[in-house]
Amino acid sequence: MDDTQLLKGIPQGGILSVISRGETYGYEILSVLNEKGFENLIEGTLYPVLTRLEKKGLVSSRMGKSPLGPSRKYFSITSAGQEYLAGFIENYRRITDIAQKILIEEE
Amino acid sequence: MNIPVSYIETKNTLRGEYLEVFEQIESYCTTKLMTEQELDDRMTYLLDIFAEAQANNVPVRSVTGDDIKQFCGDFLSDCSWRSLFGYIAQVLKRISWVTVFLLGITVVCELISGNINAADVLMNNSKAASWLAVGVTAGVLMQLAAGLIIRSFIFKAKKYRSIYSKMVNGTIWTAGIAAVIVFSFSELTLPVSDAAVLVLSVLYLAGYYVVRGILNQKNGHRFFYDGSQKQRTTFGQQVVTSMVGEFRRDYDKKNERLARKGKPLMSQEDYLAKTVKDTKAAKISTIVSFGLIAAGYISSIISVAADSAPADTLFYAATMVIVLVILYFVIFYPLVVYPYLIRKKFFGILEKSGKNLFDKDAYDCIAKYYEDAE
Repeated sequence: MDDTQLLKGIPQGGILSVISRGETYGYEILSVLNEKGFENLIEGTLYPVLTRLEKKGLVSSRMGKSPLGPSRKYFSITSAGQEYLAGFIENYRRITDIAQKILIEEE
Repeated sequence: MNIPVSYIETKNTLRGEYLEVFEQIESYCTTKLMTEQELDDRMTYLLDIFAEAQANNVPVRSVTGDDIKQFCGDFLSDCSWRSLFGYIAQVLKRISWVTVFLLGITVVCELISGNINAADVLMNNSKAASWLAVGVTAGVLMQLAAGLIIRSFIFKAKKYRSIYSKMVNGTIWTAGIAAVIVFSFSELTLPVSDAAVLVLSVLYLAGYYVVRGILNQKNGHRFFYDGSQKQRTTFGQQVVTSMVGEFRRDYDKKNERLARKGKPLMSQEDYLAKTVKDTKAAKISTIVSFGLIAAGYISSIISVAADSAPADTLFYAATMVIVLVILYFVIFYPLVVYPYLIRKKFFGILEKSGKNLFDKDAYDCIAKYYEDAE
């Protein structure tokens, strides 16, 4: 993955990381990300990102019933998603190390 | 519980600002033309999030942010030309089915009336079925234009959403029926035969299902998968579960009208009593309507028998039976009988479980009925 994609893909990586912890659904993903500070970044973009992840085969989904009445879509990470996430985390660490060295040295 | 629910059926789990904002977003999404399945998927996802936010008393703006328009822009950011293309393909599929059905009925009626050269009927310049196709196509274009014009007004006032929603629901069929009326009262014809329109429609349908089947298999589904992720249950189950929301909405609307006129509001008990009374009235009107049709049929047989040979009378009677059976299943049953049966079933389930329409767990009670029946 190149660095441009990495910067654009941080919300995507964050969402995939939440899903990797276990089968989950939209509101739960939003709550976890809001707690971690992704508040204004995620709201409207969560659905398109989830759709993109599913189309790429990185997550799978199933429809179930929620205790509140409406249908609910549950997401799980796939093996391809696990591999992608591992690669993402590695690249993220590499680029933040580089950025940290440059910025702190410059200061 | 395996009752599938389109989001429309459970939208009324939302209240107050949650419902208001949800409907704003829903209206905005319908101005972006996409397939029904895609719209349903998006709104189902959103409805689940809103319902849980409401249950947890989390402000709706913490889900959408303060700028609803921005939220809609982000939410639909992955809607591309594919969504519009899918929508157009779906509408053309419906137009093609309607055209094939109507032209098929034309040929059957010609055969019944004794025209053995029924196929020749289709070789004339195009008549009602093709005009209907033209009208519906014009309706789709009007709908697209209306969506583009009204999009910016959606967030301003509820009345614009209501206008647009009525426009979306009514435009296509109004345009189609208007086109058929124009044909009926004028000498206008299309410069192409019904036969050509029929062949094109059949070819389109074949192509549509083949392409969809190939795409389905590419995405790991079976060939005839229709895009629905809903679990399969009967239409009756879906309608019965939706009636909780439908009656509650009706109750709210009636009381809004009474409040506007300054009249005392209707209590839930009065509304329930009136609804039960309406259901009984529907039963009587069903029986009377069918009785009148049967009486008309018998009297027409008698008058034909008076002037015709027995064999001709028998042929006439048999033809009328076929026509009546088709009318019953195509018009009478879905419009009159089935709604009455659904209402009766719905109130029967509630009564059996000791609930009424306004009980908090009325929806769950209906769901449990079908769960126990499985």
